[in-house]
Amino acid sequence: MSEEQDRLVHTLLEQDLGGETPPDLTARILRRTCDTPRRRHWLAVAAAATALIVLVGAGWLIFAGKSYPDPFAQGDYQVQDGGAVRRGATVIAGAGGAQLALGDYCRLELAGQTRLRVEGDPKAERVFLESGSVLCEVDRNVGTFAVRTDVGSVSVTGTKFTVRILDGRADGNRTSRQMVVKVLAGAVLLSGAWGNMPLAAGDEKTVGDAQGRTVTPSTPEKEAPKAEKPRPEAPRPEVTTGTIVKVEGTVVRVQPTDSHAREVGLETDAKTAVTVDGVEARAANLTPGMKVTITWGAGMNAKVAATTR
Amino acid sequence: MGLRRSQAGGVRRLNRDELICLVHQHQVEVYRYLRYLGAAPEVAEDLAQETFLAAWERSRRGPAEPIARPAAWLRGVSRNLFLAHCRRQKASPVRVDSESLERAEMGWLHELDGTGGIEDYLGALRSCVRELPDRQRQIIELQYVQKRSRAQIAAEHGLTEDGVKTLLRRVRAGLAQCVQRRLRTGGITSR
Repeated sequence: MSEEQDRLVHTLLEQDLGGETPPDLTARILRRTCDTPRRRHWLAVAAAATALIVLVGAGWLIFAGKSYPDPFAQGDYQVQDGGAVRRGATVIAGAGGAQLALGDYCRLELAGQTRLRVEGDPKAERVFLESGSVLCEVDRNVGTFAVRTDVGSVSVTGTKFTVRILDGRADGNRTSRQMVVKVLAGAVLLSGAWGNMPLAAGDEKTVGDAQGRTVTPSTPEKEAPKAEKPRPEAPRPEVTTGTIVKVEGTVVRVQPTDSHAREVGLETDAKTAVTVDGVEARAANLTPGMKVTITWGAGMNAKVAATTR
Repeated sequence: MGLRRSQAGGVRRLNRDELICLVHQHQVEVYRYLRYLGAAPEVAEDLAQETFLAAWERSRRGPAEPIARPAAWLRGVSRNLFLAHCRRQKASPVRVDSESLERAEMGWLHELDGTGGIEDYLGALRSCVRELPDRQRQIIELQYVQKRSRAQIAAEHGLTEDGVKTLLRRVRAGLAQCVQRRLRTGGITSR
């Protein structure tokens, strides 16, 4: 008997004879989808109830003398130009990292040496990540939250995610940068010059060079730079996105999304990390027509994330 | 109410009713699958929810990306979520990596391929437990119903702890064979 077969029988006996019943998750899942009920009657009831709650809540806040909380930081940090943490201020985390609370519903963990500017408005919190890495945990259904970077922005429709800025090659006064977004729970919407991209729990996405553009560190008001055509002798990007055009044995040939870029060949082996539609797979599962994102490592080491759409 | 299907036969955009249908159809399997992978009950409950929320989010991304095989897709998502969960736990009691989870998936498919699913498997297992010889059934009840330790079972039955371990494994192997026989011949009765 295989270990897996033994484990299956053991687990089922443990659950069934031990009185463990799989829970009905329907109600909990529906609550978290924030879906709109279809019946107008219930919409009206919900709207009326919400309005009542808002009125009562607002009245209570006025009488209680409480107001929307100011941004609050603790840990190892300093504020550029001094003073307290406030909207418009840039917070620079020291080596020990820092924590930032926004509006009582957004909690941010700044890794050491992270630079982040506090933007946004009450119930529409927003930060601009200049460099470093931040872990964000956002309560649902309170207000909106977004992390902007000069590579793109991440809007929250879920609860927990990290954003990291990677500084790459310098080229004159321009710097190649990438934004790495990893969703730990819930979902986020990634936006940039390339369009919108929803990410769900477990997803990790690197954007920047992969979109065929080089960006300069910008001021918050500055528009995102326009896309550039790659130069003829450009070094290989750290990430390539495109479509598989051919699979020849262990070699997968990819036409990058950027029509100016030449076809790319990837030699796969047993160690090549491959996912198809978010599920771990083997290089042999890659077929022409799949959209792929290749994250290049040292030598020919690469991670390949493919989708069948 | 059925799921909306694309031309390729996969699940596309879900509305609320279809999500309920998807949850009802697969939640028990997803939960039991996560437990089989090694998740504790409360972890399996959380990750099963996240799995269906991932399906919901995905279905709302746009017209493309049909989920061709929902059960396999949900297992894949739950597997990845469990792996991520274990990596976040500094002192996880379960040692998992992508290879061991891949093996677990293969084992699951091997056991359940061609059957009516996990609930049929469980139904057959219940019948097989009832048919065990008295001594083997007692051992199983002491272990799984009364949750006695191996030392206690060993003392009651005049065995060593290793002997109990070996006996339990042998009984489970017999049960697995019995289940396969029942499923292949269609002789399933539930409790």
